[in-house]
Amino acid sequence: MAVAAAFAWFGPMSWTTRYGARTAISKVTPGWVSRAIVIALTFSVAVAAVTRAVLDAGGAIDWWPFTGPPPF
Amino acid sequence: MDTESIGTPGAPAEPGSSGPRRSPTSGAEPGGLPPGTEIDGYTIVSRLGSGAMGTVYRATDGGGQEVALKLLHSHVDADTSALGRERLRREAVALQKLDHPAVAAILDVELEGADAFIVTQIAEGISLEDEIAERGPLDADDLLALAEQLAEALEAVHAAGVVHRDMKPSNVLVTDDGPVLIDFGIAHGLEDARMTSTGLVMGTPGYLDPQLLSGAEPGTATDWWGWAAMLAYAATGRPPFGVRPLDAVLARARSGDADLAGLGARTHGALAAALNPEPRRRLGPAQVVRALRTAATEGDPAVEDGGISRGQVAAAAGAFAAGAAVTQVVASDGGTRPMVVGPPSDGAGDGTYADPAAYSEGGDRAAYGQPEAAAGDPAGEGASQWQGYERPRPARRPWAVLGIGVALVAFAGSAPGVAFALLAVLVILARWVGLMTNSLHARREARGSRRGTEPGSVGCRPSSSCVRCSAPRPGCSSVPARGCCSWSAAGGCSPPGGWSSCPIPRRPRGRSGERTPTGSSRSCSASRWPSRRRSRGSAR
Repeated sequence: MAVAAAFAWFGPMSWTTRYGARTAISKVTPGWVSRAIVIALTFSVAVAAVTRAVLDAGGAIDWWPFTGPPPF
Repeated sequence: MDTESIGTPGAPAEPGSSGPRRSPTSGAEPGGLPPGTEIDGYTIVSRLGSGAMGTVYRATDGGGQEVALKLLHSHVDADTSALGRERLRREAVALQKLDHPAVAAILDVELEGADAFIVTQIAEGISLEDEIAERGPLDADDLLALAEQLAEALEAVHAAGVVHRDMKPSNVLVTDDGPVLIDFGIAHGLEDARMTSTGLVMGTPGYLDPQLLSGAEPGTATDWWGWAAMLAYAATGRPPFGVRPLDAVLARARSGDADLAGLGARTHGALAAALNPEPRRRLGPAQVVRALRTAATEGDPAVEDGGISRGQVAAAAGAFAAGAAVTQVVASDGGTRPMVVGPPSDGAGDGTYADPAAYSEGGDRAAYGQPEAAAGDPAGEGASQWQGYERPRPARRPWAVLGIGVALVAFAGSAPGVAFALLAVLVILARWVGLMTNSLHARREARGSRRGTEPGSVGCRPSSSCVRCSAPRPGCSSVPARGCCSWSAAGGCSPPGGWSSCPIPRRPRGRSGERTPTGSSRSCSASRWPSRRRSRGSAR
């Protein structure tokens, strides 16, 4: 996932992605407070998802919408 | 019209003379009236040119004297909304008020008969447009002579209460006795009511004061702006704001983005300041002439190196002569169609200059012909005059981006499928926003900035930089911020720090091409500009 995200951000033809993402972030979160809230919210969702996976499914990975891990 | 002749006095015609009469509708013929046609005692000799309102003929009056006869186009006469006869009447009234060697004297006018026409003196000459197209830009001496003589003529016109409104190279004749202003077809009395429909403006793109495009009333400043644009054309050999597309020409004029590449520092500075879109900050004609005189007598240090080929000059002038400089209700460079103008900018609608005292009379700025920030300009905001569109640069937001990325990676630890789908959605969304935003800003860059809508995005902040540009440089104002020194011959600012604090450069327009020092395209050192004070060697 980290590789995919880095590729999307720094890979070929990624200038538009960076430009658009920065523009969108600037528009959606004009101030540092709103930006901090969005980052905190994002982290909370991520942590909640991980916690739920560990507690409810005993650490099992949910591959949905796929049926299982890739075959490599 | 390309070339026109207006000159020696002739006796007034005697109405009702015998001879073949023209049909009142024959003025619509593409080739004009055939030689020998008689109109109210005047016999057509040849066609001299044609404009938006009428065709000008060389004609002879009853006494055999040659005159210039401007016959109203029949289709303009038939179109009541065009107010052709009223415009012709105004032209006649304007000319009757004028008694100056640089303005053709009116001899006769006919407004009541089947044919509406106006008769003026005729003199041999070539239009300034053709003069520059054929022989290249003027050197410093000739430019000074042109500036002085035209300024004198224009002052006389204004003193008579008339605004010419269509100052452009094709409306100036170069004669043995100096320049002659012609075509007062859309001239306007200072006290006259406006004839052009509200929301429309009459003039020639590239030589039309941008204030008129903003809805301001015609005034003396209108003519002085055209005068400065004409000098820029004479100095560079290129239309100062290009020829097409029309939107780009008007956007450049509105942003003061004149093509003055290759001019010496003093000439460049003076003309750039005189073509400032904001009337209050423009350099007045006296200051421009003073700067040009300094350039002619003390030299004009080059702004930048480089040269423009004669071919490029000829091509630009040729394209200009091909039809872009036709008086019209501002529209395309071909046909005539109305264009809605925007609201006037604050404090500029009176079309007058600020008190000349607003300009610095001392120091480097005066020496280089640079205006001070206008009086009352808050906190030196005059530096933020660059009206070209400067695209905003979004902040990098590294922590926000990193935070979202880390959250995605963490999420992928428990639900990789959903996390990848989320990443794909976010990337697509970001690319879409990026493409749309980029497209929006590209359009705005092409059209120029709408005045005053984005004060924070144009120019350099005066508090952060000394922003006098050696040329209309991307992101920089063309006028120094308060407290900044004038630029040096080597370019840049003093104290240093000018360029580095400017915002990101705009895309180059690819209009300048190679550049040349002032006057380098001239091959002879003798003045070619006629002067009333010095006799010219031979008539052209």
